[in-house]
Amino acid sequence: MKIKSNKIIVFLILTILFFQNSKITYAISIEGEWKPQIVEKMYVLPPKQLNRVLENDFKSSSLAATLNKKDIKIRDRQSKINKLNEAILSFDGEEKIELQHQIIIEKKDYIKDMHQLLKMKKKELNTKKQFFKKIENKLIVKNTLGKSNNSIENERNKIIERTTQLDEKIFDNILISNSKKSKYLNAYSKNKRAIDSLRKAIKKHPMSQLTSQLMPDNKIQSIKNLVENIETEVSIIELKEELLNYMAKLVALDAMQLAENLSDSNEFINNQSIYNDPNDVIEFFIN
Amino acid sequence: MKNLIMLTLLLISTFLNPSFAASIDNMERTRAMLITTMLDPNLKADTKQSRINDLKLKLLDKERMVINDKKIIQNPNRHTIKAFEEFELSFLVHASIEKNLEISSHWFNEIGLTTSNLENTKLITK
Repeated sequence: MKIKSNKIIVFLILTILFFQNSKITYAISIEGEWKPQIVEKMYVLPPKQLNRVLENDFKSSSLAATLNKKDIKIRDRQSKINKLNEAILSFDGEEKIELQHQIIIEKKDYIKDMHQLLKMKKKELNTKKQFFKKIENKLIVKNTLGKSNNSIENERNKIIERTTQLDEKIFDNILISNSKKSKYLNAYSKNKRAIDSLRKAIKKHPMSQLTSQLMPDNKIQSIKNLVENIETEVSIIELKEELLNYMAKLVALDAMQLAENLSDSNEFINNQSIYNDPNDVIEFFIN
Repeated sequence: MKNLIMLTLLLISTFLNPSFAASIDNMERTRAMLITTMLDPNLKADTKQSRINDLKLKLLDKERMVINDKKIIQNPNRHTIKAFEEFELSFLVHASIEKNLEISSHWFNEIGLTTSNLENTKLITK
């Protein structure tokens, strides 16, 4: 019994030292990794869809797998703490101390696991943020370069519109219709009809209206909004970390109290056993 | 060291130089051939007409290639910009069909060589 309670005291002292500071300072290594494997062609997608692609990419990463495992582990720990809290009510003495000790161990591990989970979540969000920041920078550069090309693009669009209307007239042109058609002319007339029908289908498509609304400036704004949401999530995680620090402090206090109680009772036993009392041996002398 | 600097400058100038798209280059060459044929005084009328017709068909293809060339608006040079700004003179076949004119008449009109203009010139020189 004495050896066991000493072990508990040593553990409790370590727990107290572990959570002594309000900030959790132990080094945590995160096993999972996530490097978005999204091809650059996907960058043209509207931010909402791009975010979905990124989410799917994350789901297949090792970081997501570790995060899920950790989440399950935390849930198990939570139910274990609940069961121990319920069980402690029906025990007394040494068994109660043992259960209290168990609760402190579980709480300590819960805080450690939760801290790791939050760190992984933060890593996920920061990777996401970096990804969107990269796209935002690319869009800004493209936008700046695009502004100088805007006039020629407008001219080209006008010309396309003008010449599309002329196509029928060109086909009806006596010289062109009677002449030996070139390879390009044959391919053009065949493909042009196909391209036109596809263009019409694209124009009618409900998702096309969504993408056409996304002018570069709007897209930058949407990405900025996404980054803002990510930053909000990071702030929430930081709040949760703060909460975890208070939990750690409370566990340290619990450990301190239990250690204090155990050492008090041990001290009493020790004092009794170390110092002999002459009253105990009076009988030897009388006889 | 001097050679290295020269080489670096040459490479920089190569990368920074606006691209001259091959499609517009080909169109300009065909257009120049058509105009040269139109202005050639040594050609007989029927030979000239047949050559113009051939070149017109060729130019139609080249014009379409330029119009459908998406790469052309990326980093365009001043020749490309000018070609798009002056549709009537650059895209001769399309513009002449739009105006229901013969390609030669359309070109002469666009550069200001109309009958009345020429008559006016005569009056001034008198």
